[in-house]
Amino acid sequence: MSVVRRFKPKLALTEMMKKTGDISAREALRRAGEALHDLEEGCLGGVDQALEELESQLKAAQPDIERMYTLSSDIVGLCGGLSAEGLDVAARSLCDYLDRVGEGEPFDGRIGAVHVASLRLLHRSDAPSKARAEILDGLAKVVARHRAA
Amino acid sequence: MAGSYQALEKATVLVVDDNSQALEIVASVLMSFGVRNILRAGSGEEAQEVVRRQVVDLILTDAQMPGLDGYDFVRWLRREGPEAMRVTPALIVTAHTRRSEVLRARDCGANFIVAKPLTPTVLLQRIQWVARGDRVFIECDSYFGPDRRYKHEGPPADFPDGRRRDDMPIEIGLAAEPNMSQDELDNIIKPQKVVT
Repeated sequence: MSVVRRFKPKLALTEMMKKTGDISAREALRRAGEALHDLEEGCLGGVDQALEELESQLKAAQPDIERMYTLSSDIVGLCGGLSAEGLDVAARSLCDYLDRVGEGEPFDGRIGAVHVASLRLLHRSDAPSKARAEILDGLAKVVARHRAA
Repeated sequence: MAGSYQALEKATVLVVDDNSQALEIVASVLMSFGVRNILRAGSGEEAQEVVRRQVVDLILTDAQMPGLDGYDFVRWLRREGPEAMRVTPALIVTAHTRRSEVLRARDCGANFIVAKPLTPTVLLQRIQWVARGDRVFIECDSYFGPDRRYKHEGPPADFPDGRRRDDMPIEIGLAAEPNMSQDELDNIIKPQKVVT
């Protein structure tokens, strides 16, 4: 019979957080916002590179699905340093699609292309929230139609 | 959370990510929280070397990495890591969880799985939650890590109306219709003839 041990570990982090620190949570969050702003240019460049590579993968005779998955998940991560509403949603949708392809669904380059086109429209764009929502809605409808077919 | 004071300046935090830009995002946010000792690792294998050399107070690792990924790293930490590090709070940060990895994510022993893109508010909240230290650890043949079953405590205080669309509010209110009779209740569960 398997033995189950239950215990409450004593964490150094717990003791640290009980003490009063130098900065308030409000101030910590304000500083974090500033720090992320400083990283924005690098993150924008990172998304540019990922999109260029995704486009060249789509042009290849045999796209590397695993590499495309990594690139789209990288875009989701880089959104942490950006204020590009909806970009992460489109990138995560591409991850979902490529995950299904990895599990055996045939790859359809048109679905890859519509994702990359949506990402392009959402990246480095001043489009208002309503327009961004329409782009995502259109993408979701294309994906749903493809899945139903 | 907004008024509490952070005392993370003495904490040593290990951040693991194979994407250097993603790693810098996490490190910058942590520095803003007052963390001075941030150790960086570009792979799960590098992270193993770090924790063999040094005790850290908190680990944030990306899930998807070539070689030893975040899930396997945390699983290794809990089962085979240095004795002083086995219960160290570990948060896994992930851009996307593959359907085939859901069970690995659940069973690796991480304290939380946090979705990217990471926001400072969510990260600070998760750190405060793990630092509360009120979660029991379970050790058995098939699992070593924080208890995965949560006691139902209602919607979080910050979200009294619930955080999911199907969450019920704390105050449900009066019934809109009269209570059902016992016969009506019995009829609901009465065995039905199945036509094939």
